[in-house]
Amino acid sequence: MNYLRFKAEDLVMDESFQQYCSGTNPAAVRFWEQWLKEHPEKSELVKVAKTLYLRLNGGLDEDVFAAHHRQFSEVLAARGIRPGEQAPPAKVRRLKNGWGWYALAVASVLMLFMTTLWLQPERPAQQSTAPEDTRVAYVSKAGERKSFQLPDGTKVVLNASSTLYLEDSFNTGNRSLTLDGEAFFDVAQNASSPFVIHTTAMDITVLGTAFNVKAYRNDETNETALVRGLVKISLKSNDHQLLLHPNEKVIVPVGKTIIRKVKLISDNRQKIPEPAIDYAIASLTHIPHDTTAVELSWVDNRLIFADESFEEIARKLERWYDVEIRFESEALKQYRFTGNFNKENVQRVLEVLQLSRDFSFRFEDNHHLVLNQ
Amino acid sequence: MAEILYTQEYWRQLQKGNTDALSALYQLHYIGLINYGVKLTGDRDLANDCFINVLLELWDKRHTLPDVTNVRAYLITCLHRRILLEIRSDKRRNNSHREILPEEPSEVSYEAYLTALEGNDEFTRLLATAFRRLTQRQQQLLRMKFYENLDYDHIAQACGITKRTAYNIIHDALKQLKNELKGYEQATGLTIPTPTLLILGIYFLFQ
Repeated sequence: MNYLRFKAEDLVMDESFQQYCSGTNPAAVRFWEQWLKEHPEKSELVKVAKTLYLRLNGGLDEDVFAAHHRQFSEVLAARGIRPGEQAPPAKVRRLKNGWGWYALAVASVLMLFMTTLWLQPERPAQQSTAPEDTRVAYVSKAGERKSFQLPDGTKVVLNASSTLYLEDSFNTGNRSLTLDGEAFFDVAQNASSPFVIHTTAMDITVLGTAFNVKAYRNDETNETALVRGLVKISLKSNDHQLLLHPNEKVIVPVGKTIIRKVKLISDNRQKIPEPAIDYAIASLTHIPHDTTAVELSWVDNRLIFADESFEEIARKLERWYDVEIRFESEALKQYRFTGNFNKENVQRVLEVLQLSRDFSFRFEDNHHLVLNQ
Repeated sequence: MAEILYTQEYWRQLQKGNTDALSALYQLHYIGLINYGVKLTGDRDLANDCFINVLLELWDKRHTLPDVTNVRAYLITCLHRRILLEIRSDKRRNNSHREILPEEPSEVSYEAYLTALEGNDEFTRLLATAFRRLTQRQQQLLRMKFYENLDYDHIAQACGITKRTAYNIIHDALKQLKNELKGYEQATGLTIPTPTLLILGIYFLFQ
Protein backbone atom coordinates (compact mmCIF):
# COMPACT_ATOMS: atom_id res chain seq x y z
CA MET A 1 0.00 0.00 0.00
CA ASN A 2 1.49 3.31 -1.00
CA TYR A 3 0.30 5.63 1.77
CA LEU A 4 2.50 8.47 0.57
CA ARG A 5 -0.14 9.61 -1.88
CA PHE A 6 -2.97 9.47 0.66
CA LYS A 7 -4.90 12.60 1.52
CA ALA A 8 -6.48 13.11 4.94
CA GLU A 9 -9.81 11.63 3.84
CA ASP A 10 -8.08 8.55 2.42
CA LEU A 11 -6.31 7.97 5.71
CA VAL A 12 -9.54 8.33 7.67
CA MET A 13 -11.06 5.61 5.47
CA ASP A 14 -8.15 3.21 5.87
CA GLU A 15 -8.93 0.44 8.31
CA SER A 16 -5.44 0.08 9.71
CA PHE A 17 -5.22 3.85 10.17
CA GLN A 18 -8.48 3.74 12.12
CA GLN A 19 -7.11 0.95 14.31
CA TYR A 20 -3.99 3.04 14.89
CA CYS A 21 -6.06 6.05 16.01
CA SER A 22 -8.25 4.03 18.34
CA GLY A 23 -5.37 1.84 19.50
CA THR A 24 -7.46 -1.32 19.03
CA ASN A 25 -4.83 -3.19 17.01
CA PRO A 26 -1.22 -3.24 18.29
CA ALA A 27 0.12 -4.26 14.87
CA ALA A 28 -1.53 -1.24 13.23
CA VAL A 29 -0.22 1.05 15.96
CA ARG A 30 3.33 -0.21 15.41
CA PHE A 31 3.02 0.12 11.67
CA TRP A 32 1.83 3.73 11.72
CA GLU A 33 4.30 4.83 14.39
CA GLN A 34 7.09 3.41 12.28
CA TRP A 35 5.64 5.00 9.15
CA LEU A 36 5.50 8.40 10.84
CA LYS A 37 9.11 8.00 11.92
CA GLU A 38 10.09 7.32 8.33
CA HIS A 39 7.97 10.16 6.94
CA PRO A 40 8.09 12.99 9.48
CA GLU A 41 6.83 15.40 6.82
CA LYS A 42 3.46 13.64 7.03
CA SER A 43 2.87 14.37 10.71
CA GLU A 44 0.59 17.36 10.06
CA LEU A 45 -1.54 15.36 7.63
CA VAL A 46 -1.77 12.46 10.07
CA LYS A 47 -2.80 14.85 12.83
CA VAL A 48 -5.65 16.27 10.75
CA ALA A 49 -6.86 12.81 9.76
CA LYS A 50 -6.57 11.49 13.31
CA THR A 51 -8.51 14.42 14.79
CA LEU A 52 -11.27 13.99 12.26
CA TYR A 53 -11.50 10.24 12.72
CA LEU A 54 -11.53 10.44 16.51
CA ARG A 55 -14.43 12.90 16.41
CA LEU A 56 -16.35 10.69 14.01
CA ASN A 57 -15.86 7.53 16.06
CA GLY A 58 -17.28 9.17 19.17
CA GLY A 59 -13.98 10.15 20.78
CA LEU A 60 -12.71 6.62 21.42
CA ASP A 61 -8.98 7.32 21.26
CA GLU A 62 -6.04 5.17 22.31
CA ASP A 63 -6.14 6.40 25.92
CA VAL A 64 -9.80 5.57 26.33
CA PHE A 65 -9.27 2.17 24.76
CA ALA A 66 -6.16 1.49 26.87
CA ALA A 67 -8.04 2.24 30.10
CA HIS A 68 -11.02 0.12 29.05
CA HIS A 69 -8.83 -2.69 27.82
CA ARG A 70 -6.87 -2.71 31.07
CA GLN A 71 -10.13 -3.11 32.92
CA PHE A 72 -11.09 -5.95 30.59
CA SER A 73 -7.74 -7.69 31.21
CA GLU A 74 -8.09 -7.26 34.97
CA VAL A 75 -11.55 -8.76 34.98
CA LEU A 76 -10.29 -11.70 32.91
CA ALA A 77 -7.32 -12.18 35.24
CA ALA A 78 -9.59 -12.04 38.29
CA ARG A 79 -11.64 -14.83 36.73
CA GLY A 80 -8.53 -16.87 36.02
CA ILE A 81 -8.86 -16.47 32.25
CA ARG A 82 -5.37 -15.99 30.84
CA PRO A 83 -4.64 -14.98 27.25
CA GLY A 84 -3.15 -17.50 24.85
CA GLU A 85 -4.74 -20.44 26.57
CA GLN A 86 -7.05 -23.23 25.63
CA ALA A 87 -9.64 -23.80 28.29
CA PRO A 88 -10.17 -27.41 29.37
CA PRO A 89 -12.92 -29.16 27.45
CA ALA A 90 -16.47 -28.97 28.72
CA LYS A 91 -17.44 -31.36 31.49
CA VAL A 92 -20.56 -32.29 29.58
CA ARG A 93 -19.39 -33.72 26.27
CA ARG A 94 -22.10 -32.93 23.81
CA LEU A 95 -20.27 -34.67 21.01
CA LYS A 96 -20.68 -38.21 22.37
CA ASN A 97 -23.35 -39.39 19.96
CA GLY A 98 -21.28 -38.80 16.87
CA TRP A 99 -23.53 -36.16 15.39
CA GLY A 100 -21.50 -33.42 17.04
CA TRP A 101 -18.35 -34.51 15.29
CA TYR A 102 -20.27 -34.63 12.08
CA ALA A 103 -21.46 -31.06 12.64
CA LEU A 104 -17.93 -30.00 13.47
CA ALA A 105 -16.63 -31.57 10.27
CA VAL A 106 -19.36 -29.90 8.24
CA ALA A 107 -18.57 -26.58 9.90
CA SER A 108 -14.88 -26.80 9.12
CA VAL A 109 -15.50 -27.87 5.54
CA LEU A 110 -17.95 -24.98 5.24
CA MET A 111 -15.34 -22.67 6.71
CA LEU A 112 -12.77 -23.88 4.18
CA PHE A 113 -15.29 -23.59 1.39
CA MET A 114 -16.19 -20.04 2.38
CA THR A 115 -12.54 -19.06 2.59
CA THR A 116 -11.89 -20.47 -0.85
CA LEU A 117 -15.00 -18.80 -2.15
CA TRP A 118 -13.94 -15.50 -0.68
CA LEU A 119 -10.44 -15.70 -2.01
CA GLN A 120 -11.49 -16.89 -5.45
CA PRO A 121 -14.63 -15.02 -6.32
CA GLU A 122 -14.09 -15.30 -10.07
CA ARG A 123 -13.50 -19.02 -10.28
CA PRO A 124 -15.42 -20.71 -7.51
CA ALA A 125 -15.08 -24.09 -9.19
CA GLN A 126 -11.32 -24.14 -8.87
CA GLN A 127 -10.45 -26.15 -5.77
CA SER A 128 -6.91 -25.53 -4.63
CA THR A 129 -6.68 -27.87 -1.69
CA ALA A 130 -7.13 -31.59 -1.44
CA PRO A 131 -10.65 -32.50 -0.36
CA GLU A 132 -9.51 -34.08 2.93
CA ASP A 133 -7.47 -31.01 3.87
CA THR A 134 -9.49 -29.11 6.47
CA ARG A 135 -6.95 -26.37 7.08
CA VAL A 136 -7.96 -22.79 6.40
CA ALA A 137 -6.22 -21.70 3.20
CA TYR A 138 -5.65 -18.30 1.66
CA VAL A 139 -5.14 -18.62 -2.09
CA SER A 140 -4.05 -16.14 -4.74
CA LYS A 141 -4.14 -16.82 -8.47
CA ALA A 142 -1.55 -15.80 -11.02
CA GLY A 143 -1.72 -12.06 -11.64
CA GLU A 144 -3.37 -11.26 -8.33
CA ARG A 145 -2.35 -10.32 -4.83
CA LYS A 146 -4.20 -10.46 -1.53
CA SER A 147 -3.70 -8.59 1.69
CA PHE A 148 -5.46 -9.66 4.83
CA GLN A 149 -5.05 -10.04 8.54
CA LEU A 150 -4.75 -13.36 10.31
CA PRO A 151 -6.92 -14.01 13.37
CA ASP A 152 -4.00 -13.09 15.66
CA GLY A 153 -3.57 -9.64 14.04
CA THR A 154 -0.63 -10.53 11.81
CA LYS A 155 -0.73 -8.65 8.52
CA VAL A 156 -0.04 -10.66 5.39
CA VAL A 157 0.40 -9.65 1.78
CA LEU A 158 0.22 -12.71 -0.43
CA ASN A 159 1.94 -12.49 -3.81
CA ALA A 160 0.59 -14.09 -7.00
CA SER A 161 0.14 -17.89 -7.33
CA SER A 162 0.58 -18.52 -3.64
CA THR A 163 -1.18 -20.50 -0.96
CA LEU A 164 -0.96 -19.99 2.78
CA TYR A 165 -2.35 -22.74 5.02
CA LEU A 166 -3.26 -22.12 8.64
CA GLU A 167 -2.71 -25.18 10.78
CA ASP A 168 -5.80 -26.22 12.71
CA SER A 169 -4.07 -25.33 15.95
CA PHE A 170 -3.49 -21.72 14.85
CA ASN A 171 -4.58 -19.38 17.63
CA THR A 172 -4.77 -22.09 20.23
CA GLY A 173 -1.27 -21.45 21.49
CA ASN A 174 0.47 -22.64 18.34
CA ARG A 175 0.68 -20.10 15.52
CA SER A 176 1.84 -22.41 12.79
CA LEU A 177 1.37 -22.05 9.05
CA THR A 178 2.64 -23.42 5.75
CA LEU A 179 3.52 -21.36 2.70
CA ASP A 180 3.76 -22.36 -0.94
CA GLY A 181 4.66 -19.17 -2.81
CA GLU A 182 5.64 -15.70 -1.63
CA ALA A 183 4.30 -13.55 1.18
CA PHE A 184 5.22 -10.58 3.30
CA PHE A 185 4.47 -10.89 7.03
CA ASP A 186 4.16 -8.27 9.73
CA VAL A 187 3.75 -10.51 12.72
CA ALA A 188 1.63 -9.48 15.70
CA GLN A 189 3.57 -9.72 18.92
CA ASN A 190 2.59 -12.46 21.31
CA ALA A 191 5.51 -13.73 23.33
CA SER A 192 3.64 -16.71 24.71
CA SER A 193 2.90 -18.03 21.24
CA PRO A 194 5.72 -18.32 18.70
CA PHE A 195 4.92 -17.80 15.04
CA VAL A 196 6.28 -20.53 12.76
CA ILE A 197 6.19 -20.67 8.96
CA HIS A 198 6.98 -23.94 7.21
CA THR A 199 8.33 -24.02 3.65
CA THR A 200 9.85 -26.77 1.54
CA ALA A 201 13.42 -26.01 2.55
CA MET A 202 13.21 -24.26 5.92
CA ASP A 203 11.16 -23.41 8.98
CA ILE A 204 11.08 -19.81 10.15
CA THR A 205 10.42 -18.97 13.80
CA VAL A 206 9.46 -15.42 14.69
CA LEU A 207 8.68 -13.19 17.63
CA GLY A 208 7.05 -10.03 16.25
CA THR A 209 8.82 -8.79 13.14
CA ALA A 210 8.41 -7.95 9.47
CA PHE A 211 9.87 -10.09 6.70
CA ASN A 212 9.34 -11.58 3.28
CA VAL A 213 9.30 -15.30 2.46
CA LYS A 214 9.68 -16.56 -1.10
CA ALA A 215 9.08 -20.27 -1.41
CA TYR A 216 7.52 -21.15 -4.74
CA ARG A 217 7.47 -24.86 -5.37
CA ASN A 218 8.80 -24.44 -8.91
CA ASP A 219 11.66 -22.11 -7.99
CA GLU A 220 15.16 -23.41 -7.40
CA THR A 221 15.60 -21.68 -4.07
CA ASN A 222 13.66 -20.54 -1.00
CA GLU A 223 14.41 -17.11 0.41
CA THR A 224 13.62 -15.25 3.60
CA ALA A 225 14.34 -11.50 3.72
CA LEU A 226 14.14 -9.66 7.03
CA VAL A 227 13.09 -6.01 7.35
CA ARG A 228 13.11 -5.66 11.12
CA GLY A 229 13.16 -7.86 14.21
CA LEU A 230 14.88 -11.21 14.46
CA VAL A 231 13.98 -14.59 13.03
CA LYS A 232 15.37 -18.05 13.52
CA ILE A 233 15.77 -20.28 10.48
CA SER A 234 15.86 -24.07 10.73
CA LEU A 235 17.01 -25.84 7.58
CA LYS A 236 15.07 -28.93 6.67
CA SER A 237 18.04 -30.64 5.02
CA ASN A 238 20.39 -30.89 8.03
CA ASP A 239 18.64 -29.42 11.07
CA HIS A 240 21.07 -26.52 11.00
CA GLN A 241 19.81 -23.36 12.70
CA LEU A 242 20.80 -19.75 12.16
CA LEU A 243 19.63 -16.28 13.15
CA LEU A 244 18.77 -13.68 10.55
CA HIS A 245 19.31 -9.97 11.24
CA PRO A 246 17.54 -6.98 9.69
CA ASN A 247 18.44 -6.20 6.09
CA GLU A 248 19.70 -9.74 5.50
CA LYS A 249 18.26 -12.60 3.56
CA VAL A 250 18.95 -16.29 3.57
CA ILE A 251 18.78 -18.34 0.38
CA VAL A 252 18.26 -22.07 0.61
CA PRO A 253 18.28 -24.37 -2.41
CA VAL A 254 15.36 -26.71 -2.95
CA GLY A 255 16.63 -30.12 -4.01
CA LYS A 256 20.11 -30.18 -5.49
CA THR A 257 20.64 -26.71 -6.89
CA ILE A 258 24.03 -25.25 -6.08
CA ILE A 259 24.07 -21.68 -4.92
CA ARG A 260 26.20 -19.43 -7.04
CA LYS A 261 26.88 -15.76 -7.18
CA VAL A 262 25.76 -14.62 -3.78
CA LYS A 263 27.20 -11.61 -2.16
CA LEU A 264 28.34 -12.28 1.41
CA ILE A 265 27.76 -9.24 3.49
CA SER A 266 30.17 -9.63 6.35
CA ASP A 267 33.41 -11.47 6.93
CA ASN A 268 32.81 -12.27 10.57
CA ARG A 269 29.99 -14.53 9.54
CA GLN A 270 31.93 -17.75 9.11
CA LYS A 271 29.01 -20.10 9.40
CA ILE A 272 28.83 -20.87 5.68
CA PRO A 273 29.80 -24.52 5.41
CA GLU A 274 32.52 -24.93 2.83
CA PRO A 275 32.17 -28.23 0.98
CA ALA A 276 28.46 -28.61 0.37
CA ILE A 277 26.72 -25.25 0.24
CA ASP A 278 23.49 -25.57 2.16
CA TYR A 279 22.55 -21.96 2.27
CA ALA A 280 23.89 -18.45 1.77
CA ILE A 281 23.31 -15.21 3.56
CA ALA A 282 23.21 -12.03 1.52
CA SER A 283 22.19 -8.44 2.07
CA LEU A 284 18.94 -7.23 0.59
CA THR A 285 19.34 -5.93 -2.96
CA HIS A 286 18.91 -2.23 -3.58
CA ILE A 287 18.79 -0.56 -6.96
CA PRO A 288 19.95 3.06 -7.38
CA HIS A 289 17.53 5.88 -6.53
CA ASP A 290 15.18 3.58 -4.68
CA THR A 291 14.74 3.07 -0.95
CA THR A 292 12.67 -0.09 -1.08
CA ALA A 293 14.64 -3.33 -1.25
CA VAL A 294 14.07 -5.33 -4.43
CA GLU A 295 12.90 -8.29 -2.36
CA LEU A 296 9.98 -6.24 -1.02
CA SER A 297 9.11 -4.16 -4.10
CA TRP A 298 6.20 -6.43 -5.04
CA VAL A 299 4.37 -5.33 -1.90
CA ASP A 300 4.27 -1.82 -3.40
CA ASN A 301 3.00 -3.29 -6.66
CA ARG A 302 6.29 -2.75 -8.46
CA LEU A 303 8.01 -5.31 -10.59
CA ILE A 304 11.78 -5.12 -10.30
CA PHE A 305 14.52 -7.26 -11.87
CA ALA A 306 18.03 -6.83 -10.48
CA ASP A 307 20.48 -8.50 -12.83
CA GLU A 308 18.30 -11.58 -13.23
CA SER A 309 18.31 -14.17 -15.99
CA PHE A 310 15.51 -14.10 -18.55
CA GLU A 311 14.47 -17.53 -17.30
CA GLU A 312 13.92 -16.20 -13.77
CA ILE A 313 12.24 -13.10 -15.13
CA ALA A 314 9.87 -15.17 -17.25
CA ARG A 315 8.79 -17.08 -14.16
CA LYS A 316 8.08 -13.80 -12.38
CA LEU A 317 6.12 -12.48 -15.37
CA GLU A 318 4.05 -15.66 -15.51
CA ARG A 319 2.91 -15.21 -11.92
CA TRP A 320 2.56 -11.46 -12.12
CA TYR A 321 0.49 -11.32 -15.31
CA ASP A 322 -1.11 -14.77 -15.35
CA VAL A 323 0.51 -15.78 -18.66
CA GLU A 324 2.50 -18.78 -19.82
CA ILE A 325 5.83 -18.05 -21.46
CA ARG A 326 7.68 -20.44 -23.77
CA PHE A 327 11.26 -19.98 -24.94
CA GLU A 328 11.97 -21.05 -28.51
CA SER A 329 15.62 -20.27 -28.01
CA GLU A 330 17.68 -21.73 -25.15
CA ALA A 331 20.32 -19.01 -25.41
CA LEU A 332 17.69 -16.41 -24.67
CA LYS A 333 17.18 -17.86 -21.19
CA GLN A 334 20.66 -16.72 -20.19
CA TYR A 335 20.16 -13.04 -21.07
CA ARG A 336 20.31 -10.85 -18.00
CA PHE A 337 18.23 -7.74 -17.32
CA THR A 338 17.78 -5.06 -14.70
CA GLY A 339 14.57 -3.08 -14.70
CA ASN A 340 11.95 -1.34 -12.60
CA PHE A 341 8.31 -1.37 -13.67
CA ASN A 342 5.28 0.27 -12.18
CA LYS A 343 1.84 -0.75 -13.45
CA GLU A 344 2.93 -1.53 -17.02
CA ASN A 345 1.31 -4.43 -18.86
CA VAL A 346 3.33 -7.45 -19.94
CA GLN A 347 3.64 -6.29 -23.53
CA ARG A 348 5.10 -2.97 -22.39
CA VAL A 349 7.55 -4.72 -20.05
CA LEU A 350 8.84 -6.88 -22.89
CA GLU A 351 9.08 -3.89 -25.22
CA VAL A 352 11.25 -2.11 -22.68
CA LEU A 353 13.46 -5.18 -22.26
CA GLN A 354 13.86 -5.23 -26.06
CA LEU A 355 15.55 -1.84 -25.86
CA SER A 356 18.52 -3.39 -24.10
CA ARG A 357 18.80 -6.81 -25.82
CA ASP A 358 17.50 -7.97 -29.16
CA PHE A 359 14.75 -10.59 -29.07
CA SER A 360 11.24 -11.05 -30.38
CA PHE A 361 7.99 -12.07 -28.76
CA ARG A 362 4.47 -12.88 -29.93
CA PHE A 363 1.15 -13.69 -28.26
CA GLU A 364 -0.37 -17.00 -29.26
CA ASP A 365 -3.50 -15.97 -27.39
CA ASN A 366 -4.30 -13.91 -24.29
CA HIS A 367 -2.44 -16.27 -21.99
CA HIS A 368 0.40 -17.69 -24.08
CA LEU A 369 3.57 -15.89 -25.05
CA VAL A 370 6.45 -17.13 -27.15
CA LEU A 371 9.96 -15.65 -27.01
CA ASN A 372 12.57 -16.02 -29.74
CA GLN A 373 15.84 -14.49 -30.84
CA MET B 1 -16.70 -9.72 3.98
CA ALA B 2 -13.21 -10.32 5.32
CA GLU B 3 -14.18 -8.90 8.67
CA ILE B 4 -17.28 -11.03 8.87
CA LEU B 5 -15.19 -14.08 8.18
CA TYR B 6 -12.69 -13.29 10.93
CA THR B 7 -15.33 -12.53 13.47
CA GLN B 8 -17.05 -15.83 12.69
CA GLU B 9 -13.75 -17.65 13.04
CA TYR B 10 -13.29 -16.06 16.47
CA TRP B 11 -16.77 -17.12 17.42
CA ARG B 12 -15.88 -20.70 16.52
CA GLN B 13 -12.68 -20.40 18.54
CA LEU B 14 -14.63 -19.01 21.49
CA GLN B 15 -16.92 -22.02 21.40
CA LYS B 16 -13.81 -24.16 21.54
CA GLY B 17 -12.58 -22.30 24.62
CA ASN B 18 -9.76 -20.23 23.14
CA THR B 19 -9.08 -17.29 25.47
CA ASP B 20 -7.47 -15.25 22.69
CA ALA B 21 -10.76 -15.32 20.79
CA LEU B 22 -12.38 -13.54 23.72
CA SER B 23 -9.80 -10.73 23.55
CA ALA B 24 -10.08 -10.59 19.76
CA LEU B 25 -13.86 -10.17 19.91
CA TYR B 26 -13.40 -7.41 22.47
CA GLN B 27 -10.94 -5.51 20.26
CA LEU B 28 -12.78 -6.08 17.00
CA HIS B 29 -16.19 -4.96 18.28
CA TYR B 30 -15.03 -2.42 20.83
CA ILE B 31 -15.96 0.76 18.94
CA GLY B 32 -19.34 -0.42 17.66
CA LEU B 33 -20.43 -1.87 20.98
CA ILE B 34 -19.18 0.93 23.24
CA ASN B 35 -20.92 3.54 21.10
CA TYR B 36 -24.10 1.49 21.13
CA GLY B 37 -23.89 1.45 24.93
CA VAL B 38 -23.16 5.18 25.03
CA LYS B 39 -26.27 5.79 22.95
CA LEU B 40 -28.37 3.99 25.56
CA THR B 41 -26.72 5.15 28.76
CA GLY B 42 -24.67 8.27 27.96
CA ASP B 43 -21.92 6.68 30.02
CA ARG B 44 -18.90 5.28 28.27
CA ASP B 45 -17.47 3.45 31.28
CA LEU B 46 -20.80 1.86 32.09
CA ALA B 47 -20.98 0.74 28.44
CA ASN B 48 -17.55 -0.87 28.81
CA ASP B 49 -18.55 -2.60 32.06
CA CYS B 50 -21.61 -4.04 30.37
CA PHE B 51 -19.67 -5.12 27.27
CA ILE B 52 -17.13 -6.93 29.46
CA ASN B 53 -19.93 -8.62 31.37
CA VAL B 54 -21.52 -9.75 28.12
CA LEU B 55 -18.23 -11.35 27.01
CA LEU B 56 -17.81 -13.06 30.39
CA GLU B 57 -21.32 -14.45 30.15
CA LEU B 58 -20.57 -15.78 26.67
CA TRP B 59 -17.36 -17.32 28.02
CA ASP B 60 -19.26 -19.10 30.78
CA LYS B 61 -21.81 -20.37 28.27
CA ARG B 62 -19.28 -21.17 25.55
CA HIS B 63 -20.09 -24.87 25.40
CA THR B 64 -23.74 -24.22 24.69
CA LEU B 65 -23.42 -21.17 22.44
CA PRO B 66 -25.35 -21.35 19.18
CA ASP B 67 -23.59 -20.99 15.82
CA VAL B 68 -24.10 -17.40 14.83
CA THR B 69 -23.82 -15.91 11.36
CA ASN B 70 -23.96 -12.27 12.44
CA VAL B 71 -21.73 -12.08 15.50
CA ARG B 72 -22.04 -8.32 15.79
CA ALA B 73 -25.84 -8.37 15.86
CA TYR B 74 -25.74 -11.11 18.49
CA LEU B 75 -23.37 -9.08 20.67
CA ILE B 76 -25.52 -5.96 20.28
CA THR B 77 -28.61 -7.85 21.43
CA CYS B 78 -26.75 -9.21 24.45
CA LEU B 79 -25.44 -5.75 25.31
CA HIS B 80 -28.87 -4.18 24.99
CA ARG B 81 -30.34 -6.74 27.37
CA ARG B 82 -27.46 -6.35 29.78
CA ILE B 83 -27.78 -2.56 29.90
CA LEU B 84 -31.53 -2.68 30.54
CA LEU B 85 -30.86 -5.08 33.38
CA GLU B 86 -28.18 -2.82 34.80
CA ILE B 87 -30.34 0.31 34.62
CA ARG B 88 -33.29 -1.39 36.25
CA SER B 89 -31.35 -2.80 39.15
CA ASP B 90 -29.72 0.60 39.59
CA LYS B 91 -33.11 2.31 39.71
CA ARG B 92 -34.38 -0.27 42.14
CA ARG B 93 -31.50 0.47 44.48
CA ASN B 94 -31.89 4.22 44.25
CA ASN B 95 -35.68 4.65 44.31
CA SER B 96 -37.09 1.49 45.76
CA HIS B 97 -40.46 3.16 46.14
CA ARG B 98 -40.91 3.66 42.42
CA GLU B 99 -42.98 0.80 41.11
CA ILE B 100 -43.09 1.28 37.37
CA LEU B 101 -39.87 1.19 35.48
CA PRO B 102 -39.51 2.45 31.93
CA GLU B 103 -39.14 -0.22 29.29
CA GLU B 104 -36.44 1.66 27.39
CA PRO B 105 -33.79 3.87 28.89
CA SER B 106 -34.36 7.51 28.16
CA GLU B 107 -32.23 9.27 25.60
CA VAL B 108 -33.18 12.82 26.51
CA SER B 109 -30.03 13.56 28.47
CA TYR B 110 -28.09 13.78 25.21
CA GLU B 111 -29.65 17.06 24.25
CA ALA B 112 -28.35 18.57 27.46
CA TYR B 113 -24.91 17.19 26.70
CA LEU B 114 -25.01 18.69 23.25
CA THR B 115 -25.86 22.22 24.32
CA ALA B 116 -23.42 22.05 27.19
CA LEU B 117 -20.64 21.00 24.88
CA GLU B 118 -21.29 23.22 21.95
CA GLY B 119 -20.35 26.39 23.74
CA ASN B 120 -17.20 24.88 25.10
CA ASP B 121 -14.62 24.86 22.37
CA GLU B 122 -14.25 26.46 19.00
CA PHE B 123 -13.28 23.33 17.13
CA THR B 124 -16.31 21.39 18.28
CA ARG B 125 -18.62 24.22 17.23
CA LEU B 126 -16.96 24.44 13.84
CA LEU B 127 -17.16 20.72 13.27
CA ALA B 128 -20.79 20.69 14.32
CA THR B 129 -21.59 23.44 11.84
CA ALA B 130 -19.71 21.68 9.06
CA PHE B 131 -21.44 18.45 9.90
CA ARG B 132 -24.89 20.05 9.70
CA ARG B 133 -24.11 21.20 6.16
CA LEU B 134 -23.72 17.63 4.96
CA THR B 135 -26.67 15.89 3.35
CA GLN B 136 -28.80 13.50 5.40
CA ARG B 137 -27.31 10.59 3.45
CA GLN B 138 -23.76 11.70 4.13
CA GLN B 139 -24.46 12.13 7.84
CA GLN B 140 -26.12 8.74 8.00
CA LEU B 141 -23.25 6.94 6.28
CA LEU B 142 -20.58 8.65 8.41
CA ARG B 143 -22.48 7.52 11.49
CA MET B 144 -22.74 3.94 10.26
CA LYS B 145 -19.12 3.73 9.18
CA PHE B 146 -17.29 5.46 12.01
CA TYR B 147 -19.63 5.65 14.99
CA GLU B 148 -21.30 2.27 14.63
CA ASN B 149 -18.18 0.84 12.97
CA LEU B 150 -20.13 -1.19 10.41
CA ASP B 151 -18.34 -2.61 7.38
CA TYR B 152 -19.21 -1.62 3.82
CA ASP B 153 -21.14 -4.82 3.15
CA HIS B 154 -23.53 -4.07 5.98
CA ILE B 155 -23.88 -0.41 5.05
CA ALA B 156 -24.52 -1.17 1.40
CA GLN B 157 -27.13 -3.75 2.32
CA ALA B 158 -28.87 -1.56 4.88
CA CYS B 159 -29.06 1.45 2.53
CA GLY B 160 -29.83 -0.44 -0.65
CA ILE B 161 -26.80 0.95 -2.47
CA THR B 162 -23.63 -0.63 -3.82
CA LYS B 163 -20.47 -0.79 -1.74
CA ARG B 164 -18.78 1.48 -4.25
CA THR B 165 -21.48 4.13 -3.83
CA ALA B 166 -21.30 3.90 -0.04
CA TYR B 167 -17.54 4.31 -0.24
CA ASN B 168 -17.80 7.35 -2.52
CA ILE B 169 -20.42 9.08 -0.40
CA ILE B 170 -18.24 8.69 2.71
CA HIS B 171 -15.14 9.83 0.85
CA ASP B 172 -16.87 12.99 -0.42
CA ALA B 173 -18.30 13.76 3.01
CA LEU B 174 -14.88 13.47 4.65
CA LYS B 175 -13.33 15.69 2.02
CA GLN B 176 -15.99 18.32 2.60
CA LEU B 177 -15.53 18.21 6.39
CA LYS B 178 -11.77 18.48 5.98
CA ASN B 179 -12.04 21.48 3.70
CA GLU B 180 -14.45 23.32 5.98
CA LEU B 181 -12.14 22.79 8.94
CA LYS B 182 -9.05 23.89 7.04
CA GLY B 183 -9.28 27.54 8.07
CA TYR B 184 -9.38 26.63 11.73
CA GLU B 185 -6.47 24.30 11.39
CA GLN B 186 -4.28 26.95 9.78
CA ALA B 187 -5.30 29.67 12.21
CA THR B 188 -4.70 27.74 15.40
CA GLY B 189 -2.63 24.71 14.57
CA LEU B 190 -5.56 22.42 15.28
CA THR B 191 -4.93 21.46 18.87
CA ILE B 192 -6.94 18.41 19.69
CA PRO B 193 -9.23 19.18 22.59
CA THR B 194 -9.43 16.04 24.69
CA PRO B 195 -12.54 14.50 23.28
CA THR B 196 -14.48 14.87 26.50
CA LEU B 197 -17.56 13.88 24.65
CA LEU B 198 -19.00 12.60 21.60
CA ILE B 199 -20.54 15.60 20.00
CA LEU B 200 -21.12 13.79 16.76
CA GLY B 201 -22.49 10.75 18.41
CA ILE B 202 -25.14 12.99 19.74
CA TYR B 203 -26.00 14.30 16.32
CA PHE B 204 -26.19 10.80 15.06
CA LEU B 205 -28.86 10.10 17.61
CA PHE B 206 -31.22 12.56 16.06
CA GLN B 207 -31.13 11.04 12.62
